[in-house]
Amino acid sequence: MPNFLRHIVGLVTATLTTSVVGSVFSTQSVISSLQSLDVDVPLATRLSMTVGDLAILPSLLPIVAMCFIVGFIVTAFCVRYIGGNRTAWHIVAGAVALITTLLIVKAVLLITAIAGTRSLLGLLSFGFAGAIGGWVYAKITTQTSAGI
Amino acid sequence: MKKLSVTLLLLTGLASAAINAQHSATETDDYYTSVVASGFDQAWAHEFLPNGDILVTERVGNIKVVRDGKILSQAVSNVPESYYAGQGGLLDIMLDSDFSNNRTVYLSYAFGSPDGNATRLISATLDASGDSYSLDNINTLFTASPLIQTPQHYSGRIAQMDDGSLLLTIGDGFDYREQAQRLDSHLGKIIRINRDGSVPADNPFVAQQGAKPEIWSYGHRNHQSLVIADGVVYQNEHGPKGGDEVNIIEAGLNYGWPVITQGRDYNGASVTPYTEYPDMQQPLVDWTPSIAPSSMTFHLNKLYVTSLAEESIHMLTTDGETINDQGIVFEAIEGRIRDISVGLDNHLYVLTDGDQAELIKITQTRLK
Repeated sequence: MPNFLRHIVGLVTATLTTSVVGSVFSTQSVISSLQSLDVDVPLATRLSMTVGDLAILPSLLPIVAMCFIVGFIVTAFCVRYIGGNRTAWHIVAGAVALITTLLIVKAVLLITAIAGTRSLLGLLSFGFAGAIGGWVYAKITTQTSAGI
Repeated sequence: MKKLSVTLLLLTGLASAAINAQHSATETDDYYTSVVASGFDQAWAHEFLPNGDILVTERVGNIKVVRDGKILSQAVSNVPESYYAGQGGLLDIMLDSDFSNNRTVYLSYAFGSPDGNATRLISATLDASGDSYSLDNINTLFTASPLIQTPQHYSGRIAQMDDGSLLLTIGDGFDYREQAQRLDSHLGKIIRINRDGSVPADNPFVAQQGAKPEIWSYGHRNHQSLVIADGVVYQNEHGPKGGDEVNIIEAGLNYGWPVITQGRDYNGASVTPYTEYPDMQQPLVDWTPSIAPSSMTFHLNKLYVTSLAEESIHMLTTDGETINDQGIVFEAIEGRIRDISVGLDNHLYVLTDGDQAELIKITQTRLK
């Protein structure tokens, strides 16, 4: 597979993975908040709501993609000029890119755009979703070490 | 005689031109509108004084005075500083039901700083001196707790019950929505206090351990309307993406947010899997998609609800137990509409939104 195409596939796969995982985490956080109010949420209801919330993907995908494009370009420079484990760099970059974006959005809009990230745990879980995306991207593009 | 007719015709034409210059009017078969005053910056509420002056609150922190169709150069002085950010700032104004004797006004506003802010209610006396007004004897009656760190969803609408006690809507602070269900928090509630800020002994949660005694109803999101008519308390509230509601409020009841709603988060995600749940009240009117209801008034046995997003006024009929949306009226009024009330002349007045807000009078030619 040509290098350029490999990066495109890596970016698309990473974006999709992070968006799905992030959406799932966010839904669990929202349900957890409801359960803290003694609201009963059976497993079937939880699953149904989790699947239904994937409806946010059309709005989430472009944002995550932009995060990763910026984050992975910066990572390419870090790998080249600082060195170290390329996969580790991308894992960190994925997490940092997602968390930074959410914090910037909150600073601009003065609200938390994704309810599941209102708590520190929710924010970190979204960062974890970003880290998974970074790992996916690194693995798919691992044979093109000179690239981003 | 001919000369007299021509003179009268000229005078009539000149008078008409002069009126049109001051008040741009729009006319339909059933009503016409005229701009009373314009140029308000982020107007939020208005109130009519017995002498005909109109007080208009601006969210930026001013109370402007409209007299004879003009905004006086001097705003009401000694207005407490409010926290102007997001949806915060100076909000509602209401005269006490015994204003002609006690000159008392009530103001709600966002109080605090980015690190900690809240909806606050004060009382003050409105002193008149020459052409100007000032606030005096300012008393803080209530400040919502806990403080929040998002400048959103203050609500802040004030109403007065027949016994003189005050109702105030407190929003959920946006990021704190679950607190609307917690009785140890004022967020997402309607609170009821006496004129002096004390708690009425018959409030529903006075005797409940850990509950805020001021709470009168709970499970609300961002409720910017509160109207009492014939002893019935009507309220409406913004849902998120969908789920705008009109409710009849009764003491001690749970109106569901965020456990039940027809709305979804702005990004499309679920707020909750439920649209109904035991012991939670269903709205009497639901607007999905949202119209963003901003204000409401009761006039000639009908409720009128203004909207920001739909840029409209809805007329609703009610028998005190049910409410039916009759649809949009006064379509000639354009733009986001912030506030509506009934003037001393028994006509409707609306305030538009934005940095060049207008106060518009609606004259109904076929009152029903």
